[in-house]
Amino acid sequence: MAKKASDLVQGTLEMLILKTLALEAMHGYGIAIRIEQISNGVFRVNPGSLFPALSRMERSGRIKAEWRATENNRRAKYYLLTESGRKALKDETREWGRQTAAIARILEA
Amino acid sequence: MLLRRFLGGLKALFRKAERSAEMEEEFAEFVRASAEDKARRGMSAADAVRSARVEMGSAESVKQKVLAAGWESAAESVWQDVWYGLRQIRRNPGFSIVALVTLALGIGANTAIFTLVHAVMLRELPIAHPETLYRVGEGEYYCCEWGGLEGSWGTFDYPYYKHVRDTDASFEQVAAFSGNTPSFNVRREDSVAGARTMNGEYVSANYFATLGIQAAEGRLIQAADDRAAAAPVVVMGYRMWLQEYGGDRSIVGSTLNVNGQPMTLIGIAPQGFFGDRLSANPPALWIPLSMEPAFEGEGAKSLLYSSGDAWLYVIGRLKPGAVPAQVQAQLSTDLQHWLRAQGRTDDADQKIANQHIQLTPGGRGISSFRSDSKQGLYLLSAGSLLVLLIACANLANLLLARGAAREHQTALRLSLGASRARLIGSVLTESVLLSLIGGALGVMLAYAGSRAIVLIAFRGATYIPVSAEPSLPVLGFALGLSLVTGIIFGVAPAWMGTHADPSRGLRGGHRTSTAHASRPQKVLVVAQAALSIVLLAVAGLVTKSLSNLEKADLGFQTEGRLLANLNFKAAGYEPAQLPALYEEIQDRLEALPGVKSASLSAQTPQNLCCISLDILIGGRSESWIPNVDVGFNRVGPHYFETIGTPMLRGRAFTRQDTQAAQHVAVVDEAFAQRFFAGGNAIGQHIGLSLPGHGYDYEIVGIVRNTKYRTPTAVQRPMFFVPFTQTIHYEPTGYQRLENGTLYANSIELHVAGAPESYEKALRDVLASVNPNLSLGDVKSYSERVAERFNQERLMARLTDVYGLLALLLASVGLYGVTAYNVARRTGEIGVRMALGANRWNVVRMVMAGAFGQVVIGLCIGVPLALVAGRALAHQLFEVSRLDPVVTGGAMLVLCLCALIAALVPARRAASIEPVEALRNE
Repeated sequence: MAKKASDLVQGTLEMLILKTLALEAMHGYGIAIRIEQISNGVFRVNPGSLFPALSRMERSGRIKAEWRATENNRRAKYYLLTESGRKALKDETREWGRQTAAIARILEA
Repeated sequence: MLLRRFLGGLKALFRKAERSAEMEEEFAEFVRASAEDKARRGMSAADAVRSARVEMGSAESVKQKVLAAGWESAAESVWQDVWYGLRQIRRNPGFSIVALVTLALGIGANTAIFTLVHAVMLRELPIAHPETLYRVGEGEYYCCEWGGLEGSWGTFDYPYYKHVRDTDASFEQVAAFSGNTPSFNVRREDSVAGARTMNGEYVSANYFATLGIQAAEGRLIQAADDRAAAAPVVVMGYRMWLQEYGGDRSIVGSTLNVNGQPMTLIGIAPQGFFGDRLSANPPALWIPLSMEPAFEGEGAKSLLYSSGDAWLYVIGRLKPGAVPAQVQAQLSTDLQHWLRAQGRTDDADQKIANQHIQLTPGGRGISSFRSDSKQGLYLLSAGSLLVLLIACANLANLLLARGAAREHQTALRLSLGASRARLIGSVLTESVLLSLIGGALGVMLAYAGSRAIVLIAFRGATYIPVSAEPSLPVLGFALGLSLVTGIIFGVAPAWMGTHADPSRGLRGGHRTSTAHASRPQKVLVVAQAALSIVLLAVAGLVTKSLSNLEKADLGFQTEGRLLANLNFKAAGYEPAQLPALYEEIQDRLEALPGVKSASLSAQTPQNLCCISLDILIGGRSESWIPNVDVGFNRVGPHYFETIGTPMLRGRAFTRQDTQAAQHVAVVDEAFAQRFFAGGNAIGQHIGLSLPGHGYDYEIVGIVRNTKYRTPTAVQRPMFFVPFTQTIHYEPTGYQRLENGTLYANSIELHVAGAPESYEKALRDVLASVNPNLSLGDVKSYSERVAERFNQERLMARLTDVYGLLALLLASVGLYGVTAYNVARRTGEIGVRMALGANRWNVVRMVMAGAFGQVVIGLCIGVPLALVAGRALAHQLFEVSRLDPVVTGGAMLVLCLCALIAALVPARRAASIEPVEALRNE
């Protein structure tokens, strides 16, 4: 039971990361803080989930990483959306919409 | 996608250090960025850094999580387990050696038997597309002179073969070959070397084409060769070509003298083609069917032209899409039409409706060896599997004991956060590693073992049709078996070892384990004892059966007798020349110093056999004779004294029994009993079951019953007639039989001293009579009889070995568990002794524990052994399935071994010094 819930969160996290990166390339902390800010603090992404997710997505080719200089002139690893990532985001967004609409219908019925 | 993941994983594996450094840098930047952010929002610099670090948590654990995401991490942990396992194996040499020897024996025994099963049961003939090859008919009959109405047909006459070949549309090709493989005398036309005996087979023109094989040299038999007027040709087997002619290519195309007839050797069959059957004496010559009349010398009355004589096997290649079941039904209907059309209505019409043909897969050849040995091989497979199970139980026990010793370490690893799956994985990896190494050793053992097995199984054979070489399927079997074995004996200890309660394990001390820790071990010992008693009892039964067979009264003497087979027809003699020749041979042999008597015979017990006939009795109507198979033999004057069969009444044959004199016969007790019970057989008349032949022979003597067939076969009544008296019969089949039996097939000598030492003298005498008379299978009669029980001997020897192995393993298991328990209870025993228990009490306590397990094992095992004995009963000779001596003996032996195995630890327990034991607490 517990495993199922974490699976769901994991899948959602990847979608949120894709969405975040759709606007611009970002480093790890940037992604975490952006998700937290936009969700008004509902989602707090801790590094223990964030980095494995990034590694997984990089491995599957949805995002790619580059070392770049930060605004403070330090080196950081920036993540960019690839073409397949962009497509995956579109698919997942649509699928998410379908699922939440369905869940909403069930809850309202 | 998959490929990319794989490549990414590979990259990750090789760049592990670099990746680790990158991650550290990335995490550090994360913490820095987070701290800056927090400071910007008003936290103090120190608090911001601390808070950011807390958020990050342990960088190491995040790193592990990231690394664990890829497949390479699983591969890496397997690699670590393998490494760890190998180290464990090296670090505990005592444990490892015991485990490896046990495994090598268990897996080796199974692999050896599988080598045999594979060679005999599973291997297909070296022919093209064996799966489309079907045999028309089933079973092995090749003596059916009259064909008869067999029910399920196995062999056919030539006209019916032609009929099927020309009319059946379901087959691409239909070929035929003779069921009999007669021996031929072969000599190179241009060579001075003597003749060589080779077995041959008559085959149809399309035989090789149907099997789909190509010549190694020259060409094989073609349609043009199988015609009445065709030039005589012959094809030779590869092995014979190598053995006799050293693979000389120039022989192909040359002329061979075969039974005095010049024939062109047109080609050599491919290497590895050992004919259409698995036999210890496969054909080495293939001759077109059309040559049969020329060799068998019957002209127009020969088998080839006769109908109703079933002497041919028929095989065919089914067309693609043909359904065997339909073809089979079609063939049966067709056979019944054919029989009716042939006018075979002397038998009831209903009987014809019962005639049918079974289509059997032909790819594995025709082999009585296969069907004979099937039961034996199943038994041996079961036995070797039991040995392996006992070995598994032993290893599981060893691992359990070691797991208990490692309880502390396991508990520590669990409480430090190692996952149970990972711990189970590493224990399993170790057991699988052990069993793989043991399996590799076992394959070597199996190689030696299967060679030994084949030598026992084919004692006395001129050619061993199965190979003991390990092949790919055998190696695959060994690998699979090793993996399964490793998992079986590793899984229970792995599970139990890692499900200990960490807190209890960590509390330490030797008093922690209670009875529960050793219960699985005790169960395993009980199982071992039960399985061992089954194996021991089976070994006892099979061995006793063999000894009964070897001691069975066969009705003749084997000691001091020399036996050889020979072929007068192949040497070119006509029936009319034979009586004088036989007399000369007998006289010259009996003149040899040390030879007590000599004789020739058409058949000999336990060697060449059997012709069965229907008979008539003079003065009685045909319907009076019950439908009894009667054995028939033609023998020389000194036959009975030479093989040591006593005359009970009357006389044996003499030189006065000539063709002109009254024809005489000798019968055995069973004959006299069956047909003249209560009366005197001597003076009565008998003959073959043909009108007007009831008075052909007068019975002049009665001999003891002699076992011609296996000792287990039911004794048939038999009669004997001399070579010197023949009868003329009208039906061709009878006449052919009469002429055929005039040729003696065996020669027997009764000698003083070792029979084998007379071989040279015997060969010299025959060579001086005629150099074309070659002798085969010259052996002492004892050896010949011993070879008859090859299979029984193999079973007995192997089950003995299995029984001993089981006993040894079970004893080691019992010893191990008892010793382990004594070591574990050292403190407790010390307390008991301090409280007044004497050494005898301690010994009794330990022994009672050990024997408790053995007795439970016996209670389970003895009924199982009885069931096994029952299943075996039909393979045993004069052994009752409830043999109390065997079962009791097995129990006694097991108890004795248990006593020794338990006594050693019990003595150690008794020698515990209470003070020492308590101080160690």
